[in-house]
Amino acid sequence: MLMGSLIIISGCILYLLLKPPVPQYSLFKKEEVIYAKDSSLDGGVAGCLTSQPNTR
Amino acid sequence: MFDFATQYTLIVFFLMVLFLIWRPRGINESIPPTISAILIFLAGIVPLTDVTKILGIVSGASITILSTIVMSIVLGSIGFFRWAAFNLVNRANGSGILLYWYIILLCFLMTLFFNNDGSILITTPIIIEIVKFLRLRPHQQFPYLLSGALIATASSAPIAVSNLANLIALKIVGLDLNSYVAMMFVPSMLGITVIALLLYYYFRRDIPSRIPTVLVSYVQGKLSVSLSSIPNIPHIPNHLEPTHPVPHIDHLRRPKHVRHPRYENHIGHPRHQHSIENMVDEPVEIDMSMFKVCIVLIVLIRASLFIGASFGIPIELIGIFGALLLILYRWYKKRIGPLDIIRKTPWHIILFAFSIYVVVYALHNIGLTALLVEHLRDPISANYLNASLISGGLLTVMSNLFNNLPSVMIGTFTLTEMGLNTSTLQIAYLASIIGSDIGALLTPIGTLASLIWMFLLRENNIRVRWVDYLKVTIMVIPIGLFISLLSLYVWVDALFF
Repeated sequence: MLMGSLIIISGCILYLLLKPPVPQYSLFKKEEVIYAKDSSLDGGVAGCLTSQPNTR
Repeated sequence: MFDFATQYTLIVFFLMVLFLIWRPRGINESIPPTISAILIFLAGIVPLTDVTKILGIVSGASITILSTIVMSIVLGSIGFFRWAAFNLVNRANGSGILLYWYIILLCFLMTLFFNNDGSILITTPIIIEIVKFLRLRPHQQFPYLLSGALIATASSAPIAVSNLANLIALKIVGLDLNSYVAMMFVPSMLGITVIALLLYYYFRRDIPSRIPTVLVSYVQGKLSVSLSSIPNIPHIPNHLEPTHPVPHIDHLRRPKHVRHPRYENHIGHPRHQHSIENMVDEPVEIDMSMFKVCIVLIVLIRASLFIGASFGIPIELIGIFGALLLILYRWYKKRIGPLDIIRKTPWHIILFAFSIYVVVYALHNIGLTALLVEHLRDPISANYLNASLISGGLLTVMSNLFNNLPSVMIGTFTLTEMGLNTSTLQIAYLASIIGSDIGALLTPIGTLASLIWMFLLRENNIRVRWVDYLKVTIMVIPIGLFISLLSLYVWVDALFF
């Protein structure tokens, strides 16, 4: 029981550690949110990220 | 004084150790034990019946390792290592020191969740991915690589199932999985913590203080990542528009030969200069649906190991079934057959394990166990502190000379033939496990996990010499080992006996 609990806890912490820090790239989320493209930064940082609104 | 068999075995053994340490022309670690095993077998010191027994012992361990290797290869082919690497770097938010501690935590948790071989097979590729796409210099890569490996292997001490060697005589000494954890968790955690802190202190100047961050996007069902060349780029917050000014786009597409102006006039210790010179956008695609299925499969296989073991199903069978399932799924989804697994498996490590077992069995047959029992019975029986330190020290020496698996076998024979009372036997056994899990890290041949680690590094063209490894472990492992053994005595004596 003790050992099993430790293994389960370590699995949960592992998941939290390895999952993407930004929630919209969650492993289990069905709809992925992407950022709106800022035309003033075409090809720049924001251009690497595309977005959709959270609400549909 | 000694008969022919004893003299012959001792000479072969010493030559084997000499060639293992010297390694002329960088020969593979498995060659000296293999030749020694052949010589010993031809001389009849280990008869065929013993060889068959050894095959049975090693095959169980080998199948378990092989199934873990299959899991690791499948994870690699679905992009898990890259995904994990990018997320860890992202989470570190530009701090090389935070990344270092995340890697330590990752390696510790992986060993607890899987086992030490699985942890090495999973975390080493992740760390390699990290150091390679961050373009770290060798002296900057080494802290992450070695610290991760040492913590991954040392972390097999807290719970019994993390290392095959831990399980060898658990029932014989009257312990079960839960009583093992109750007695070992705190002492081994103290040792691991000390080792982690010492490693950080040792590498503090080599760990880069600033590292780039990673930009992640999810487009058309696939995760795409690219390296940001600006270490100070702020994290894009979780809403649609960034609130911080975004750096000029020129920095992202700088040609390979032009250094970032920030680093051209960097003042400070040369070791602290960051090595980023090639700022190349490297998009990587990962199929998230296949990814999720594989992760779920691996977790289910891991859980079934425990459930199956409680019903008496051998873990090797579950491991084989799980490995086949993963291979078939990958074959179905990506049309990649199993041939790459055969090519990527480090078969020489299994040969090493078998050969070294033969050599150690020969030592047992010529009276090594009897010698140890005769000389160590009285000191070990004297008190619990002696039992802890001597037993742990003995396994440390043996593991570093001829690997921890056969050493634990000899150690178990020795302890059980001493006629110790139950409590002394238990503390001596637990101390021997600490010696074989933590003390064995002094040399790369101490554990199969270390050998797998060096193999994985070689496969990725990262060369780590024995002397580089030893310079670190000699400073770190003895202190961690001593702290663990001392705290084992204090903890067990105070709470259990």
